[in-house]
Amino acid sequence: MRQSTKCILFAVLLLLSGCIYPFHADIESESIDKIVVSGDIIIGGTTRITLGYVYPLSTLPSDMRGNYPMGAVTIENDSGGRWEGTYSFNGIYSFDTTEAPAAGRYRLHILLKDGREYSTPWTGVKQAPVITNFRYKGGSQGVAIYLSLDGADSLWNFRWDYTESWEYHADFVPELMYVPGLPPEDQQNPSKIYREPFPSEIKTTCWNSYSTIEPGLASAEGQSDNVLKDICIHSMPSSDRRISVRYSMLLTVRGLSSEALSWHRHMNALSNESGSLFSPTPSEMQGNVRCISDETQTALGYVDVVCCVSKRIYVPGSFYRRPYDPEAFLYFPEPDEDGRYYFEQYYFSGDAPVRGEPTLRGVEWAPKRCTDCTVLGGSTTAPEWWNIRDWK
Amino acid sequence: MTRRLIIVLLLLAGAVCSAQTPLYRGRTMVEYNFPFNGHYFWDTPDFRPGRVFFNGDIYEGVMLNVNAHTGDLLARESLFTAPVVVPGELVPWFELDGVRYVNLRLCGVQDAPEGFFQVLRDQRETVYHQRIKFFAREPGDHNGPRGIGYDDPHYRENIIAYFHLRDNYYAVRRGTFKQIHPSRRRASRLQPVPEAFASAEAPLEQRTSTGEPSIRVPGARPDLPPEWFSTGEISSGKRAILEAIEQETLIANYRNKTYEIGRTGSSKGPVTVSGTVRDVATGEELPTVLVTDSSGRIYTYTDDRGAYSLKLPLGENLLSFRETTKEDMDIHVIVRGEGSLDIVMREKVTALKSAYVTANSMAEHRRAGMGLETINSNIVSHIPSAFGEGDVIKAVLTLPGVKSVGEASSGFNVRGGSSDQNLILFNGGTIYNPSHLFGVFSAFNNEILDGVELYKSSIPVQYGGRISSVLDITTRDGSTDRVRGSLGIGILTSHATIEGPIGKGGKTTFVLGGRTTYSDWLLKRLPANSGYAGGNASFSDVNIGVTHRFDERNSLKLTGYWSRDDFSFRGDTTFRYSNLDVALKWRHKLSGNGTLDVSTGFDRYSNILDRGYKTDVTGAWSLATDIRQGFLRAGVKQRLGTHTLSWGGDAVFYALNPGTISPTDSSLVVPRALPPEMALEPAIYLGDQWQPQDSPFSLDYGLRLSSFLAFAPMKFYGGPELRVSGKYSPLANLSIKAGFNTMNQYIHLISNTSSISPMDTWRLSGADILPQKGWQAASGIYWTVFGNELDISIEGYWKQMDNYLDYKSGAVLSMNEHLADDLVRTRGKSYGVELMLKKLSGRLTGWVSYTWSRAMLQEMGDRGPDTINGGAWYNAPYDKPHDVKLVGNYKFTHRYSLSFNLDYSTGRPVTVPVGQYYYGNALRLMYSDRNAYRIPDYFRLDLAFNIEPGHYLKAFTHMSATIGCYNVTGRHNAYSVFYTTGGGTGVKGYLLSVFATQVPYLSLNLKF
Repeated sequence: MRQSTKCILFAVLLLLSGCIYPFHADIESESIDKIVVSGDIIIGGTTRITLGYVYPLSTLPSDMRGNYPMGAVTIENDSGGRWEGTYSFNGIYSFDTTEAPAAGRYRLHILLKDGREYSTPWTGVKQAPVITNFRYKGGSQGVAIYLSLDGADSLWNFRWDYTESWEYHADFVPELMYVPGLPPEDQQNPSKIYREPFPSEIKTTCWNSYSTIEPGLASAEGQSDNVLKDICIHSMPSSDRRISVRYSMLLTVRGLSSEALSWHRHMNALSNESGSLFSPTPSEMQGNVRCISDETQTALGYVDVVCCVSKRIYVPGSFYRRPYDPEAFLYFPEPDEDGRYYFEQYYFSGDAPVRGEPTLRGVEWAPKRCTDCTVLGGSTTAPEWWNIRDWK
Repeated sequence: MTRRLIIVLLLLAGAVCSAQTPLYRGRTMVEYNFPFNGHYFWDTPDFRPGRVFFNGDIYEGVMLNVNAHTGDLLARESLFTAPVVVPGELVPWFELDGVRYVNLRLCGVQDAPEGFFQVLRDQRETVYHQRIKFFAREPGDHNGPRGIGYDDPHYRENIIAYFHLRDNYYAVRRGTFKQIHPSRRRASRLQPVPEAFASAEAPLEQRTSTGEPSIRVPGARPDLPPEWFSTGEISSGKRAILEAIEQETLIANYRNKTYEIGRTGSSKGPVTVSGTVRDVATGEELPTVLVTDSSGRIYTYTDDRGAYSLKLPLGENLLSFRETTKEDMDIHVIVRGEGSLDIVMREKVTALKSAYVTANSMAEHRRAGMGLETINSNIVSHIPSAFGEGDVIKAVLTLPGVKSVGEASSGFNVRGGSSDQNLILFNGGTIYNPSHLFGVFSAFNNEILDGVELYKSSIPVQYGGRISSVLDITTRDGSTDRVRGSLGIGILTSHATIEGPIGKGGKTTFVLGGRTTYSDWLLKRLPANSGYAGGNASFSDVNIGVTHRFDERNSLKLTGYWSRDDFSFRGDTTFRYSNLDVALKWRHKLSGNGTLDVSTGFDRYSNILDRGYKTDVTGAWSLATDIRQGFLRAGVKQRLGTHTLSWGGDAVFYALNPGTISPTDSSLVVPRALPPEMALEPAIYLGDQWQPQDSPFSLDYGLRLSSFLAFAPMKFYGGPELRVSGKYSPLANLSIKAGFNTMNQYIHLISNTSSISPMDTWRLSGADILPQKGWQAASGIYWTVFGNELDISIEGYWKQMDNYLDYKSGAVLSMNEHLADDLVRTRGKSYGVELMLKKLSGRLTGWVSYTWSRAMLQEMGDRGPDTINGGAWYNAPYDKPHDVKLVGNYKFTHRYSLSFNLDYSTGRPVTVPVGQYYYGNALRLMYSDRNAYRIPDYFRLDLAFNIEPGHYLKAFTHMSATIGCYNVTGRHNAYSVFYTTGGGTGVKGYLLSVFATQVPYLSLNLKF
């Protein structure tokens, strides 16, 4: 490219990319005595309501765990039914609302130990939509998962959450294990530094899972028959390790009121869509939790009353195309000028022996993540429901 | 790299612009290495400021002298540079010490000797005087009145080198150019003739409209030999020289003659003097020319037809004519009775385009209205801007009281008003989005602009529909004499303009201009990892204007404007918007001093957002909104004694499409359209400018009755709008003003972004959206000092408004059938003080201003805990309390000047997170009260070096260049701040800076 053209392109980049710099606002350090209420009242299932606090921006995320509002949390319906919440951990109150009637209106009531009392308005139950299709579509590019919903009579707004689970394998099965912590005189002795692994030490098959943090939101307003058809809710490229062996997704769908949809969308936008030239200017939204003991107190959160429906799909590993990984290689350790090997260094830098003649230079090593799948965050224990017979 | 780029650009520009010989590039002056007493110059060895007509243009204030030995004209750029010989073949004339010198041979008098002739006058005839200092070498004493020799004690024997002085006189007698030999006594009586070529032998009577001879203009025709005018075919170059000389002669005549107006004894008291002011080159009538008498208290403005009329006392007077883009004109008159005086004015010398004048000096002391700022294209083109494209909106932003929310933002805010409260008129049509490329460039092509007027307060009665300001932009008519054009090339944009007469006679003219960008082309060549390789951003616009003058009283002007913007950032969303304006205006000069204007037109602003899904084609849709409006306006402006009445009416018919969603491709999206909105906004008005002569008081007042009828459902709004402003001038250069005006607005921008964005929609007032109402009270003091060179002003204002629309948190503004439910009505107040100091002449021109102001909003109503900021007053998004602006130009020479622009303001208010919490395992942010914090202060310095065209009369093209740098200090000015919660490391704050570094630019303009 000619120098003059580069100059012009440079100028254009200045215009279009702009620049983003760290910024620390001089925010007044004020105490924020405000509670956060998250979760929906789930009719026909287990309800989990989480109470938390709002913390100053300077608080580290790790310091935000461990201190939760304590009190009595109750679900009430307009027929006089009451469900007391059971505190489990991390601010979570659980309710067995499996048998709660789908008719009628519900509300959440909170009485904190400091006397503050909160409540949501009486709200009718939003029936669950019908999952008309939940499928994947695979190809050389990867896998995409599609969802079709039917809002039935009067449901136009939808929310979904999903949990992914997948099985994956290590690249190499280790035939030898390194024995660390040997005295220096033994560190050049192949018969002492290598041994055969115990069966429990072979971690070449793992399972991992991940639950979405951001809920998926969609509205069928403006579409025919209040249905959503083939919404792509998730996609993975063919090089994604999650589809390397077997993959499963458990989807939970619920209906939403327009107010709840607006609240969730607004909260997502505040977190994810600020800062660009045309971003909406941020503004706080209170939700539907009101402090009924003190009008000056406010709370954050929107508690809706919904029914949920779940469905699981499985994806085989046939769409996986293993990518080239320059760091996943086997190598023979090299001695120094004096002929000494430094296996201890290899081991503690994250490598492990794989296979070969157990001599000083006859064993191939590789990064440990190639021989131990737990390094990548998984567990060697399969989920209970992981049953190959359910695969489709 | 930047420095290297600048050097390359400088070299390039220098090479381009030095292709033609400039005034100061002649050979150096001859030096004489023999001793002699005295000097060889015409009168004195001192170089003195004069004016020279060189290569088709006039240079003012050039240090000049004449070598009487060689006959060369010498020019000196500064005291530190050597004099150079100006090529005589390019100089038809020059003036020094008030005396004109002409090159008669260049003017076609072939039997005249070479060199320059001083133009003198006897009582009856013009006499040309040439002084020659011959070089000679011979023995003898040559010191004396006719010799410039050397005091040699052996002068009788030695050969002395010396200059011999000779004065020759010539005159035109019986049609031939002859040398004459006046007696010494007569020669001493000869007087310089500033009004060159003047002759009492060929007087030209100008007549009033009634045919009565009123003034005598002796010398409208040069007193050159008859063959100059009659011999055969005149070459084009000669004709150009002739035309230039004729124009110059006219101007010179005005400047140096005394005109008698009217007949003696016809009146006893003050009499009416009227006339028309035209452009000397195009013959076009010049509106808004300020005409004043010597006291400054009797004044008027020319109307739209260039006509003026004012009452003057009998006797001698000095009439001054002032217009922003024209050279000042002062004419000595002796008023003997009623009569007329038509004059012509010419453009300011092109080499001195640096004059930044927002209003004529002293003009503030003549009008009662306040808050008016005028800008012309020269100002616009010299204010440094990003990428060198002359930008009207950016120029407007340099004025006090005008702000924007940030760089690359569409729209502007005037005195605490929102961007939709500005009525932007382009040839009478309404512009709803005045920007290209999401705010980087303005939508207006600077090359075809005629004038820009911004009314911040004291809005005239003929304007209505917005409650903050009116920005009235007009394009100029095409050239009447020949086809002209211009081309401009910048880093990102190019523009072209062509204009000229249609047919013979110059009655019909056209002007056609267009702009486009090649940023799209460049984007496609960006590296894939830049993040913009798949994006596109392009715009183009076209202007056309056709003017036909039926006769002296009637003209018709058709204008059209079309623009298109098309851009997408990343992903699969494309924005498109377009402006279309067509207007037809008939102007009729009424008998007496009146003008009738009737105009009609059609405007359309359309907006399309294409949303495709790469992985879900079933959800792809296209959202379209548009505004269509037709308008009809009729207005009369008529002067009746000390009153100037304006009355008329207008009507705007709106048809809005608030939103239509259409499926694209195989999408399942069901077509949906919000109900269209239609309404009629008629208004009538009556206003009066009362300007009693010889009185320190004047008053502008008027009433506008606006109304609004919304259809489906039917809803009527309306009410009177009062416009009053007054002036008291205890001194000619000191004025005190006050004004009050009320306004109604029936169309509203619905937005939750800081600036105008393509996603915004416009809505009309109706059953659930009330009209915005506002009023403003303002007062100011204006003082002109230092010989009218410096204008000092201070203005204060207080402004209030009701029913301004803000949005609820989480509001859905697009395709919302119940939009009003997501909006909140607010009341607003703004107040401030604007200090301004303007320097209008000299090498350094410009202005500096400081504004302190506040703009606050408050929700009208109580929604409990959801009420914005608990119902308290909160900062408007464009509230910037402190604002300092410095705009200037320093001219080193006639061709080279440096422009600078400094802008400082308090950071605008923003809403920032003040807390964090977990919600559903995701870390979320809790935001502060609305607009409770501010982004960092804004500071920017821009510099530009301007190279004006060479002044070649015969050259077909003239090229100018501007090399500049936007944001010289490279400050990271924040456009917005935002926060992220990812990464598990807590909340991170960032600021987005649009132009975060120096932006060098080069723009080249070619005119032909």
